[in-house]
Amino acid sequence: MTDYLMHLAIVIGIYATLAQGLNLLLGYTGIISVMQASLYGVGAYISALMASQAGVSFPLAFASASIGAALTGFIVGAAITRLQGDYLALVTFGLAVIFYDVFNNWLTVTKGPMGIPGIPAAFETKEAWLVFVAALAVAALLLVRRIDGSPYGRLLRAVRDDEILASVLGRSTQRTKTTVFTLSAFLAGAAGSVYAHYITFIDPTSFTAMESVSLLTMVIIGGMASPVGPILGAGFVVLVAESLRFAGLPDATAAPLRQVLFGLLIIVAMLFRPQGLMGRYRLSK
Amino acid sequence: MKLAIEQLTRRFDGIDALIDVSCTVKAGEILAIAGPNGSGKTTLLDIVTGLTEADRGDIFLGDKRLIGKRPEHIAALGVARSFQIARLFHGLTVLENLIMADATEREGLMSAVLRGEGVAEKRARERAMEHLEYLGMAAYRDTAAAKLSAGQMRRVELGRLLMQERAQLLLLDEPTASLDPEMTQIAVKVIEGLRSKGKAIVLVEHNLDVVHYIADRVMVLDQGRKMADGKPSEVFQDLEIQAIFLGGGGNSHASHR
Ligand SMILES: Nc1ncnc2c1ncn2[C@@H]1O[C@H](COP(=O)(O)OP(=O)(O)OP(=O)(O)O)[C@@H](O)[C@H]1O
Ligand SMILES: [Mg+2]
Repeated sequence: MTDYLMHLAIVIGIYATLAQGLNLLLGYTGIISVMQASLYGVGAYISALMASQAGVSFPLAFASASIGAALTGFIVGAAITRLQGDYLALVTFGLAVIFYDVFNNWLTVTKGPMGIPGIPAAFETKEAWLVFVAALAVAALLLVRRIDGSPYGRLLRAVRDDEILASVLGRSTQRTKTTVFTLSAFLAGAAGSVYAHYITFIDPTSFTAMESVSLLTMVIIGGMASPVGPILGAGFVVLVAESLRFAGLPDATAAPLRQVLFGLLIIVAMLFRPQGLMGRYRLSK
Repeated sequence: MKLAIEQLTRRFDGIDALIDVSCTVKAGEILAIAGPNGSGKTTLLDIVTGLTEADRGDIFLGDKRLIGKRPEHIAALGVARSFQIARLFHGLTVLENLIMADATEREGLMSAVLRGEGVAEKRARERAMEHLEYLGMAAYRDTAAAKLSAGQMRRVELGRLLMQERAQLLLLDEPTASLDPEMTQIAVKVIEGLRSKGKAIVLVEHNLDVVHYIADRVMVLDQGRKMADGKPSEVFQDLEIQAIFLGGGGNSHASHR
């Protein structure tokens, strides 16, 4: 039982790190991205391949995954952040589909739908995992808190409010959005690596646009532009999903039901508590 | 620095917003732009700041060409503006809005992560507080801009202009609209103060009393055409110009939109 609770805490910690990156994008900067899970996947695959094919140690695989995802985020960000609002969201959706197709079809590298089994676990015990994941989530929290109170964080919120005014005051909104895209991809990559080495198996189904929607749910429910929001949001969403499993539903029913539930949660949040549990902003401007 | 606008032309699907408009403003000079609604005043400011493209024409600030540059590059060359409907970052506090008008170099991600609050940030906050005191907005320093009244937003915009010490060219789009008479006087004083610091100022203004009082020159626009350019006392003597303001769809003293 405690094993199970620790497992839940570890999963929440991984999602909290991931949601923290999305919080920088959505909460602070107002960028809706549905490719966060794709960048998470980039990190997971880099880490899994390096460890299982090349026998690289976890710390090195972890660092490479974070940096590789950040680099991917930077390239994508530089290419798409000149777009605004809905268009940007739509393009991230297109990219999420493309990334999924790559994970699914680049058989020689990703093994496609078969996935990559036997990824070496980084730690032997759940306790060690819990400590590591908690440290990672806290590091992400501290990073976002630090940004929150800094001139950079203020710039993000300004760009979120009014891109035109920001540009008239001399800010390159595109550069700002590219840096935050990169940083959020870095966190996604780190989380992806941890996920891969914790579960020891990955396949493309964990890195879909739908998964990104769950992440958006976490940020929205937890509260946008609040450093602790993503942790609460991750906890809430994971526990709700888990309680569905306890309801004894078969997986084929539980999975779509979960998605419907998250959709409903977003709607309810928007109608009755647009600022989420902790947030400073409402979802709509 | 001197602003030179040459034969600026812009058409919006069938409407001539500006036709061949040329003008200059020197450092330490206030050029007012007056004209009825829809005469092209805001469009001119939008083109200078890079928010709207011109179909034809050229713009120079000193020896730098502004046409074709992005808004942030134009801003970096020393151009500041205010908006017809006061424009603030709504989710930021009053104080943060002013600080956003200050230098940008400490906003890097790395300095956010690695360094604590710098001297420049502290200094900017002090300067911002001085301006807020002067504008009677100090009590609102931590209020979100979205919660302010229209008149208060105007004051914050004035404060933002005061923060932009490096700007050499100021473009003001009806800065006295929605201000009461007392606050209008303060705004006029602020603008005079900026002129005395040697800034070149373009002032779009519906209140002709303000134009008479403060402007060194006034350019009158009507339906995108330049109708006059000269000393206010002389320009407004002209009966044709008077007719524009009396009959031409505009109302000189009302604040619009
Ligand atoms: N983005 C746009 N698209 C289409 N037409 C536009 C656009 N911007 C301005 N116009 C038109 O160009 C003309 C000039 O508008 P502009 O806003 O420059 O006038 P203005 O002198 O500032 O008027 P006001 O005193 O009402 O502020 C108007 O007829 C306006 O409807
Ligand atoms: Mg106007």
